[in-house]
Amino acid sequence: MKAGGLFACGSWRRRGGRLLCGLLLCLGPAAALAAHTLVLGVSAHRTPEQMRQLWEPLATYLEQRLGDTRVKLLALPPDALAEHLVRQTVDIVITDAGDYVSLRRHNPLTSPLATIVPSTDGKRVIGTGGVIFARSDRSALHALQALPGLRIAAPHPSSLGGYQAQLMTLLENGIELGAETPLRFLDGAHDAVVDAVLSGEADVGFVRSGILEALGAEARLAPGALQVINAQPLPSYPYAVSTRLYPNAPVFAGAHVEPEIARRVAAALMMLEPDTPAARAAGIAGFEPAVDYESVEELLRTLRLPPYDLTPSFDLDDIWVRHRSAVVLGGAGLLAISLLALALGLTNRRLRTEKATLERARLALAASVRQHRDTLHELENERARLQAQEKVLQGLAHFDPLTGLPNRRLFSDRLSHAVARAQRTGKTVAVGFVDLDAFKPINDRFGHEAGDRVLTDVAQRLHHSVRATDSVARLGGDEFALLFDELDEGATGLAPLLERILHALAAPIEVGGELVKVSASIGVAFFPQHGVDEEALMQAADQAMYVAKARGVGRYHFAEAQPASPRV
Amino acid sequence: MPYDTLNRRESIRTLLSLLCLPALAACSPPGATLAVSAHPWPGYELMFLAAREGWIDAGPVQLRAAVSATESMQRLRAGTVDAAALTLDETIKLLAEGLDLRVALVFNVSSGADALIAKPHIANLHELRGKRIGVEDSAVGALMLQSALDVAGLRRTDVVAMPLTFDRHLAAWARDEIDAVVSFEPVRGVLLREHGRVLFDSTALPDTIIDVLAVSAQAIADTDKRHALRQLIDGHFLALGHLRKNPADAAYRLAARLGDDGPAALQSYRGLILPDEHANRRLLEQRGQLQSSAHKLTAMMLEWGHITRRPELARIIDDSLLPHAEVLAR
Repeated sequence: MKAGGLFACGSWRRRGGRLLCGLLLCLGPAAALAAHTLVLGVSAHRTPEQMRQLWEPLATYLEQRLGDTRVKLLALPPDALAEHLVRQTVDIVITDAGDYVSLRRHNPLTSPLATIVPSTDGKRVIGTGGVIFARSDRSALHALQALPGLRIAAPHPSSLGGYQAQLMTLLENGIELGAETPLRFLDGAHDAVVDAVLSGEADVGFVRSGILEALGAEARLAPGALQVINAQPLPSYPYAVSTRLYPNAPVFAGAHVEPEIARRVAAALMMLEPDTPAARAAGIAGFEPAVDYESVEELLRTLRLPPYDLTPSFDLDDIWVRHRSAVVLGGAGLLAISLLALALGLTNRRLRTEKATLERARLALAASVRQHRDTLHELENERARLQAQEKVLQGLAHFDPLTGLPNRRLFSDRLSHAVARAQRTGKTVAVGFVDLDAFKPINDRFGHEAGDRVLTDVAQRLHHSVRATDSVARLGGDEFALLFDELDEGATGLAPLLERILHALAAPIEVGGELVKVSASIGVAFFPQHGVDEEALMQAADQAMYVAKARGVGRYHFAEAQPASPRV
Repeated sequence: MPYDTLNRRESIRTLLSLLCLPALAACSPPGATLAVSAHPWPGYELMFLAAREGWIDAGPVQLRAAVSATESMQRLRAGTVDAAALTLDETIKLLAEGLDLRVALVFNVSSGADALIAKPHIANLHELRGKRIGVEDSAVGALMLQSALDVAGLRRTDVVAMPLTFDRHLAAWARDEIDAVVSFEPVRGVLLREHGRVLFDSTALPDTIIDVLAVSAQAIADTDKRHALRQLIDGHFLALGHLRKNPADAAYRLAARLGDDGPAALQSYRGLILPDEHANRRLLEQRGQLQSSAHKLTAMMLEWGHITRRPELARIIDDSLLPHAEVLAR
């Protein structure tokens, strides 16, 4: 048997025992000549001889279909087959559905290629179940309830039809076998189970549906020798059965088998016709596309059988035996938790008290915060008021409050800036000194208020007469100053502008219901000709203004040392 | 009278039902228990499976096997049962007679199970002109034939429609008394193996040929019977789930009443849509598919004289007995 596995070191195996291949060279040189070897593993539920009779024709059929491939049959008990699968010394496996689900845990990528369809009297059988049986002369044995405590023989714990289905049926009927029930497994051999029951070594046997009928057909089992317990009323099902039916056995490829090979094997299996030697020998109608094995997985999950057996039993003894340290630790843990819970309770009470205190404090704090917020608001208002005042004060510092014109301070500031700029650009700056010609009489005659009206009016006229780049300032009394910035043409360009200003000022002003005529004299000085700083320029302009006034009212005069220019 | 003859889908079960006659022995008028009548049909079998498996409490629910739909209809008329499994057109016929019924569940929708099958020498529907077509004298038979003729652009008078009950379909085919037949599984499968051609089938009439649970309005109003109805319907869905999860087991258990063996039992579900809880909810929605199918069928049945007065269809659906959302979630 084992040698079959040793032949298997075809090229599809990505890994695999080199040692095995070495052995192969010693043991079977003929095998090494085959292009590829595919090992077909079947779970041996009957004797090796019977397994060969059942499946050897299928191996031959596959060999013919695949052409270049040698197919080697390997019939082994379930445990040995599982071992070969793990070692990847078997490629294609035909086994019980329960076995399949359990084997698949080694590699979840393993999926069934096909499902076997057995046949009886030319009829397809699409389900497989379990049989619970005893000798007919055991008259007290015809109900499931009698099973606990009896000696039970079963082929293998991973057999769906030979153990798991029976267990499920017992569970569904509320029966547990318990530890007191002696249960023997016979290495996957169903025949041996029947023999054990017949010989009286076991009271009850579990086998897969169809086994009893097969033995009967081989005359190895006398009709009526056995009784089936919990027989299901399924008249159209060809075998006696004690449980629910489940999907038939799958054919699957080991995870190491190349998909291309798996595909070709699956195709060959699907093409197998019912009336061929391979099908007849195996007692099958052929293969069908793999069915859903979810019902089997659900059964194993419910029974907590491998691969779903990791949840520990909840039996107390069991827990004590298997998890003594865990139980001790758990107990200590519980004690610790209890103490902690007590401490927690006390702490909670204290916290509740403190929480109440804190709540009161919080309310007080909230009130205080509100108050402070009000204060802050007031402060903010005050700050805004102060800012506004500061702005007014700043205005007072730089502007003449009566006319709104820049005052002397701002004017001299602007002038010094203009001078500095002109030094860089090389352009000309001119300063005009304006003095009203007959302001005092107006003031005397009409009063200060009227005088202020005149000054305001003059300020406006001056402001509107100059260019946007020029500045007008009130120096005090009836004195005004003009700053002509960035002049290109010197005095020549300035003359028309001065004319325009004098003209504007000459227009009569209404004061106290009377029209009065105001005129002004303007002295003009140029940078840099009449001075290179603000003071000198102002002085030169002042002097020029006196010259203008001396020559008659309503005139302008350029400071001395000035090239000749037209005079009015 | 069209409905006095053996109805569609009946005769197949007639013989089989005889096997179940002992179950009929307990024949009492409905009291606190809910009496439900159904003849063997794949769609209805799931509730029988549920009862056998103990998924329906035998106390409040009494399933009563009938030999035919005609018998179930008769029992509803006589008031000896509270509910019956019927096709939608059969339900409409009873409504038209004045019975106050509600549709509480859809067992199945035909999707290919009903077919017009012709002898191999008839290549297409157009060649049916002048041919003898066997058809059951029922609304579904008429609907199938009419729809097939519409597709071919033929009138009813262009063919020889021969009233033929289902049990005689195979014999009439074998003796060449007909050139084509409007039939359904399992006759459909048999005729296909004898080289019959499917020229038209119910996939062309989606959501039209529908088997339902028709319940008397009185039973629905009764608290105990409502409870029993819920159990019955829950049980049906449990069995449907079992058929889906473990078809191998369900197949042989269904075969006990469906006749043949497991594979054949599964085969009989081919061509049937078996709506689950969610699909049922959708079908039974107000102004949903079932209601529109009922309107369509009613119009045809009036036109063809199967019924003489238009039944009130606005309130025939009751989806309150379907599993609740929390049951659906489990």
